[in-house]
Amino acid sequence: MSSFRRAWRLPSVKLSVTILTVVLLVAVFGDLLAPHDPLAQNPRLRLLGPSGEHLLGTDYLGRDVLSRLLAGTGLSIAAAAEAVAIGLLLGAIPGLASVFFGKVFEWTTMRLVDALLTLPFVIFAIAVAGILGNGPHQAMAAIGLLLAPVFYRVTRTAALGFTRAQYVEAAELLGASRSRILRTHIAGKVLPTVAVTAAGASAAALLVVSSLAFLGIGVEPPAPTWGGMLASDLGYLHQRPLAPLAPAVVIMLTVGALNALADAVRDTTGLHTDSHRIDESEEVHAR
Amino acid sequence: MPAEALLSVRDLRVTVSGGRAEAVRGVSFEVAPGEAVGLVGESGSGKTLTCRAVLGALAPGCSVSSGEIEFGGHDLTGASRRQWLGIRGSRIGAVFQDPASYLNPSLPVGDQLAEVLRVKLGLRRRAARERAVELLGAMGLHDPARVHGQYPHELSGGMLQRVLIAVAVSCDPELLIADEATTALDVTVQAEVLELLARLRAERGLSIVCVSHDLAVIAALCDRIVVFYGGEIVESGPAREVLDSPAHPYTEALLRVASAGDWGRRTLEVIPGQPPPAGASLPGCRFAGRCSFAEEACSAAPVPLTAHPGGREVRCLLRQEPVGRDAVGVGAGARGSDL
Repeated sequence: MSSFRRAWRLPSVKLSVTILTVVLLVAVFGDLLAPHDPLAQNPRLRLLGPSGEHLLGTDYLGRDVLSRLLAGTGLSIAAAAEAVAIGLLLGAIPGLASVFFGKVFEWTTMRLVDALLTLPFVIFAIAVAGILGNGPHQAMAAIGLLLAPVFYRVTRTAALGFTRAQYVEAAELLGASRSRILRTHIAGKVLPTVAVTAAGASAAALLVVSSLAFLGIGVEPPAPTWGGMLASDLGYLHQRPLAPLAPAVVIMLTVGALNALADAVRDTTGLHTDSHRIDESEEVHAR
Repeated sequence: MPAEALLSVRDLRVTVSGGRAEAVRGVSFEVAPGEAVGLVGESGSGKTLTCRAVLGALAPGCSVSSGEIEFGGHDLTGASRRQWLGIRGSRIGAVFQDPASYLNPSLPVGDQLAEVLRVKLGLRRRAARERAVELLGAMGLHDPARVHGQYPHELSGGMLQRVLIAVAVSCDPELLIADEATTALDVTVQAEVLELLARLRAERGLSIVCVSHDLAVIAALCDRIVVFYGGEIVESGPAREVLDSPAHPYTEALLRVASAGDWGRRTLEVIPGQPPPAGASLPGCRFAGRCSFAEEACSAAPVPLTAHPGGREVRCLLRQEPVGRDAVGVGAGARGSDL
């Protein structure tokens, strides 16, 4: 707990937590906060600049940009969260369990993980949407599947270090079952590492969700999403050069806040990047 | 020695590095109910391997190649995993050096003690907690309810060792193995922990196998001493008698090195030479190379462990006649002239 308190003292953490809190609140209550109906079109008010009535102006169909941003937050965040949750489920849990399985299991899963890591997010999601049909859940499942190997590796590496601890050996000798050891002695230790990875993965997922929405995959129009707004605004750069700025800034702030938070937690809890940790464990063995 | 031994190790042989080297070479000793036996010897003499074999917790690559370990009438060498679960922790408890590494640093110590109670005795969460606080109190920890909620880093080495002793005796074992349990502690704390072990022994009729390279620890706690050298037992017998009149030149040298109370003596004594590497096969006495009394015969043929009156055993060619306080022999004479 104290490491979280230490992290809280950092200005970057305060700022990112504030941003993420606002984003989450908007994600939940965005529909209520929207001053206009995010779907209401008005051909007479197309591509207007910011004004008292429309604070962020209107888009090419005369819809209020602010309302669409607020209402779109929920869908964008939910999609990213869904992808990360699937990744955690498919990656972190097997990664944790894998420390007690043998070499054959390790070799097989590691090659599978390597293979999955080579696949690019967007193209894989397009392929999945092509096969399973276009829809938010199909696209998110595809992203989740590609996030899983990251979680698998990180969790496994972190957990392996702890299985060599003498208190784990002692628990084993005293007759504690493997699942009990995983739950009481290892899961808690791995949690900060997984949390940091999840924060980073959320940022990545949000970007991919936005990219896919930009390409018309995942959430389908007219439902507003950040990525979708960015895509449609780009088509009208001549008329309103600054129009893509609003969704772009929101995406950037959220992703930036997630990354900053992940970094701060990692630094204050003494966790390092993957390569660092491997170096350290090798040093320990060399000693 | 009572006829009904609780633990009896017979001709135990343990091989290391995948069977290539024999590090414990035919060790036999017995522990009676309520008795405290001390295993002494320098690093690599096989005392810890012997303990680990008794606990069924040999490191990968080490295995019992022959011999018997009989505990409470059951042979442990062929015990299955399931049988071990009923013995290790339940009937044989163990405490090791460096208590901090045997506790999870991110969980309160009381929870870890309670966990053992829940796994081993099937206690409910609340009952386990109450029992854990009770046990911590019985270990002489002040304010056990507070200690229960503390993390390992908040406790001193001595307190941590008390917590681990509480874990070891939580299921009322018949035998406690203390492998260098006081080595990492400073001397005053060491004395307190030894006192605790002695009290547990008196209160619960616990047998103790105490492993140490520190003769003072053994002298304080044990009834009988078994001296290890190079994977073999070189001498055993009642603690007082072995310490007062060592029969084997190695024991004698060990005592001389250890007599640290003598501040007038400025130099630190050492036993010249080095012990044979684990698994080295020597035809004769394994200590012959470092022994100041060694004769040609010593290195020629294996030296048997001979029984002497008063429950003593010595593995030395120069000690074939009875040994004891009154017997005057080569070793005692040499010691006298040395002082």
